Amino acid sequence: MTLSVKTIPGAVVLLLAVVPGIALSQHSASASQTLRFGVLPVHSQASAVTPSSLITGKVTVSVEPASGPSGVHPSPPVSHMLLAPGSLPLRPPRGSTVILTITE
Amino acid sequence: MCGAVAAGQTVSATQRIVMEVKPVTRLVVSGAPSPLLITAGGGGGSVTDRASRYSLVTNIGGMRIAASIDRPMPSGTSLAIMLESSRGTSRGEVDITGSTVSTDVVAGIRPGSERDQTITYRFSALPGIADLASQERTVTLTLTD
Repeated sequence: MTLSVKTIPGAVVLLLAVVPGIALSQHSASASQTLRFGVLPVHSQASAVTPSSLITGKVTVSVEPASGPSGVHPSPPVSHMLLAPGSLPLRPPRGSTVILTITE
Repeated sequence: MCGAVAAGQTVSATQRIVMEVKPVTRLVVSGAPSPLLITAGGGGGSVTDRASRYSLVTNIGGMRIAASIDRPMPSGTSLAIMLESSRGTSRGEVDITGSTVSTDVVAGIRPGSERDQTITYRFSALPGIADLASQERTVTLTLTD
């Protein structure tokens, strides 16, 4: 703990105490660890569940967008897009239902 | 000290031995937590990681472990930690979202050692957090009295 004294002429003596997060102790030991975190956007999630290497044939995607908040119109539906291998050019609105159909 | 001793005489010698047991406090963490990635994409949710362990040894009673992070978590997210303990009382899942000041996670640790106790992290995001770039926080555990 750090303790300092500040005097103001003609006034009282103020005691200012700065208390660190951990009370200083002669008997303590610390260890640290690094955490990494994040939130993936929707389109990354969609890509993750459709690895192109596992898809043979044609893939069609239809999206049923969720209604937006009041005053915001829902995005137009994306119907039966033909996907190129290795890509999923889709960024559906939040809450949308994505239907993947794999054909020959 | 020793010298010639005549028969029937007793000689003694003394020596002072100084003994001391110093306080011992050791804390080590091991393991590498996996990235805590929420893939709900705006729907909120949480992920947990249990890949970390800690070990300690102390000969002092009434010790505790406190946890802190170097910077507060981003708005709309939270981080909780839970430490198992066999020689103390775990506080269960403790929120350390804004804990740049240490928060107790285990209390009343008795003298002895604990080895490879599980550390559980839980990262949570509120609905509406759709995209949060990867970030890092340093979690510090302190064994203290």
